[in-house]
Amino acid sequence: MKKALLVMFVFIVLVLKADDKQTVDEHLLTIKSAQQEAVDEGDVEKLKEISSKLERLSTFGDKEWLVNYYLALNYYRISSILYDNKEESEKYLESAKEAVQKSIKGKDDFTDSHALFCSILGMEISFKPQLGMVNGMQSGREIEKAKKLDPENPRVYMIDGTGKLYTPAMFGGGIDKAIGLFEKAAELFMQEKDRGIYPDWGRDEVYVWLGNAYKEKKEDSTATEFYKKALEVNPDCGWAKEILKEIDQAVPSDQ
Amino acid sequence: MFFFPLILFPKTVIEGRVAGDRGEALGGANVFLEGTLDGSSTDEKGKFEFTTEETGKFNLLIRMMGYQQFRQEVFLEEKPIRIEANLKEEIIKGEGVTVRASSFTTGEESGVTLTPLEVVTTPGAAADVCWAIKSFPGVQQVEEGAGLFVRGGEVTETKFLLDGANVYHPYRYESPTGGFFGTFSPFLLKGTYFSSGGFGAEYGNALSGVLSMESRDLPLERVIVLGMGLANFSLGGEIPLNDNLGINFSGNQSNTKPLFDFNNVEDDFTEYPFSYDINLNLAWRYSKEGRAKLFFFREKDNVGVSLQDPTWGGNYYGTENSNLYNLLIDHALSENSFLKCNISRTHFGKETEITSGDEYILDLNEKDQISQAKFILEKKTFMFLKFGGSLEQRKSYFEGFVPSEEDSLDPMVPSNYYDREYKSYISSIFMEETSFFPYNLSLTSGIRFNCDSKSAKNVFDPRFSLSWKTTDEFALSFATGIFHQFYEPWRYDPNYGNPDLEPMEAKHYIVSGTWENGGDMIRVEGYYKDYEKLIKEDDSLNFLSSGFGYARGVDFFIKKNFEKIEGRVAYSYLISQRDWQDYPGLFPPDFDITHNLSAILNFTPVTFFQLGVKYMYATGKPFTPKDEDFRSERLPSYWTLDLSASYLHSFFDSNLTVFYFSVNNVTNRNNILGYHNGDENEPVESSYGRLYYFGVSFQM
Repeated sequence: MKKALLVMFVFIVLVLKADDKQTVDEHLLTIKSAQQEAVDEGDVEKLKEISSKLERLSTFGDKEWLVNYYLALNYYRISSILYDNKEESEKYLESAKEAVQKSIKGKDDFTDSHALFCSILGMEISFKPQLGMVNGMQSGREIEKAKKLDPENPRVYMIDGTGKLYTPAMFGGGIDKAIGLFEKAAELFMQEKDRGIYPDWGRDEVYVWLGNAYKEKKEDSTATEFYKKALEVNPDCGWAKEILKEIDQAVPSDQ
Repeated sequence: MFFFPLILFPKTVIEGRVAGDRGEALGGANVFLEGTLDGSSTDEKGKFEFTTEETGKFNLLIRMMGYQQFRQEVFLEEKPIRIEANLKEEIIKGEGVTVRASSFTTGEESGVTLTPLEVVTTPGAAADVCWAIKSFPGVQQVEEGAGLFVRGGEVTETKFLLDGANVYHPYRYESPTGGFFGTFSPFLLKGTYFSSGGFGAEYGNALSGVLSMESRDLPLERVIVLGMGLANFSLGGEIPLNDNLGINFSGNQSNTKPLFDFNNVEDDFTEYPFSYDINLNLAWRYSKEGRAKLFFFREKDNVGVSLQDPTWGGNYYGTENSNLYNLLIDHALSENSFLKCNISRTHFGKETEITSGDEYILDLNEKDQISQAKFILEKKTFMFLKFGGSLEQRKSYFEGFVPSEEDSLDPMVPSNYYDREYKSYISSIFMEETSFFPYNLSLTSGIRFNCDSKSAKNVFDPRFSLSWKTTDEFALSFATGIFHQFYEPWRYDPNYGNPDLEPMEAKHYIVSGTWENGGDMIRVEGYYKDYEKLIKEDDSLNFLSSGFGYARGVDFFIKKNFEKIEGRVAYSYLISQRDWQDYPGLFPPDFDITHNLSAILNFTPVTFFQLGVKYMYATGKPFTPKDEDFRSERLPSYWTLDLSASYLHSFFDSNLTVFYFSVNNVTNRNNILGYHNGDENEPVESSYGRLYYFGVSFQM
């Protein structure tokens, strides 16, 4: 009996202590899926909780650069959701910038950090157009570096495309260029496997971006097809759902 | 059985409250044990509570956006732990022009801060720090140059510093009104701080304003920049040698001949203004707590002009060189104590010649050597404390022939030969303390003690400022203080000056209201300045310190960001009078510019393109018309309209190229800068009309 009690005790201890024994990798896996879920739901509170967790994880002394990447991505997501609340959104964007810079400092050859940095710089310009010059220069440099590091990374082309979408053709941008990049990204996403603890987000978003590009081109039906395609890839994609809902609501009022 | 775990796992409860500097509750702060996931976030009252099964020594960390991290060692042994933490606000270094709401509190946080990019993108500022600063309120447009005349103060009343080192010759092509450009290019700098009055006790020996520049830090990545324009050629770069050591370097050469030729400017240059500068800046992070910067700078310029006086003709030739060496050490003694010290040496040399035919009217050789050691100790707890001191040795040397009658270059007037050397020491200590009170009130009080060996006079400068942040967006401030400035050493010469001169004195009274929301701001500032012991010429004693005067005025500043347009308007109203120099009584000096307006719009339609427009207006300077009352008239108003455009392109991977184009004085207005002998038929006209400039900067 004593032996049985002892075994049970050890078992309980192990189960209860299991959480502590999780490695940074295991925590990252859990956080990665929680992050995607919170993004799909557009849930800022959940994302804030994830930020707290990532901040704590960044003190574990292991893969700090990757933790900081996810932290930057997390802040960037919060900033995007709160975009209409300029002051709050800018605050989170600033934190995102700080975290991604830390990530790059920790590991300079990680493609996704450079691509994310490019996105952050671009978003900063939308708040402060006067930064266009400096940020424009730097974001160009970051995306080129990302392409060089991993020419097969789909997020790099998707992020490059978003920049091109809002840049006039005379300055090297344009809708068609953006579409080309989104298409290339979509193709690469199809080849991308589950990357474990490393980032693999965006396979649904690329279709939303394609939809947005076609909407800019005034090809609404093609745009709608792409929004639907995004939902096929990820039935929980909140962004696509929201846009489609808006389209559905707009149709009856037009009639 | 189910009680086993409860009995076996030790649990420590950690609870407490997190507040800001002034005791306000901070909600949403992340409180946790370093290296674990154990922790919680604070509620809106700033309270938190969590349990942990860890035991032993741990660091408790508190992190929150916009605040510095809090760290405290805790020992976990099942006994409840209570933490009361006060987080310090992080000083956010924004990319935009920031005019701090907490004006007049502490040096670094009040006044205007400018980044190099803002200097470069200010239309009509010719990428010059001083020219860009002139587009802010409180600086009067007196001459077409870089000279900073601040709120009814003379140009020498603005003190310049670089990494803490005093810079006595901050202008290129020096003239009595400053010089044509600032000595330091914005590209050598990380940032520039400017205060137009009421500055803290840290800054001494300045009556009116302070311009403090900070050189670049440890470079993070390798960058080489090649620049070429109508009048300049430059090469610069940042090279990290390893994680803790790096070099910033630059070399610039400026030759104005192609610029004047291209613009068909009819000029009187016998030698076109030419200058070069080189800079080497070694940055070293010698430990986690400290960094050192070794800064070397050399600049040389020369210019020759044909002088067209109605009564005689001649030539002017001037050449100058400046050398600055500075070692700065910045060390964190603990989490809230910092020590900053620097040792510097500057050499300045100038040769001036004025000839008429083969005759030398003036032939003067000047040298100025300054050695300085300085330290500042800072402690930031519930109050901010600053304590510092400096010792400076200045050696000035003059040799050559100077006309015996001052202000007369007539070749018929005989010259005197001078060969003089002066040595002086200035020592100072200061202390400043900032306390924070409820209702967002803060009070800074400081005292500064200065001693000058040449005048053998000691001066005490008490300074106070009170700031009240009534709401998140609005702040009221009041500042007052006494400011002293010593004369240049030669003024104390028993033969040519007066050894009994007393240091000049100014009292500042400033009231300001600032409204700030996001990047937008409105600021109104009213001031009164009382000047005493100004220089007064005297027939028997050469000079007396019996001059006096006053300046009063209001400055307005509005900054607004629209979606793609950034605009700022600065307007200053000023009344200033002095009885000094050879004035027969209280009269407006040259720098009494009643209305001064500067409006700037920067339009960024797309990331790669920026267009800037600047309009500048200033009331004409007072002058004495021929055969009429002293300073009874004013010159016509001065105004210009400037345009600038920049376009960005990337030719290859990691390349960034900026093409820029500017038109100064678009309307080709002929501004009048003065009249020969007060005769309105003989105007001194602006040295340039419409001026086109273009260039390219190539970064790899």
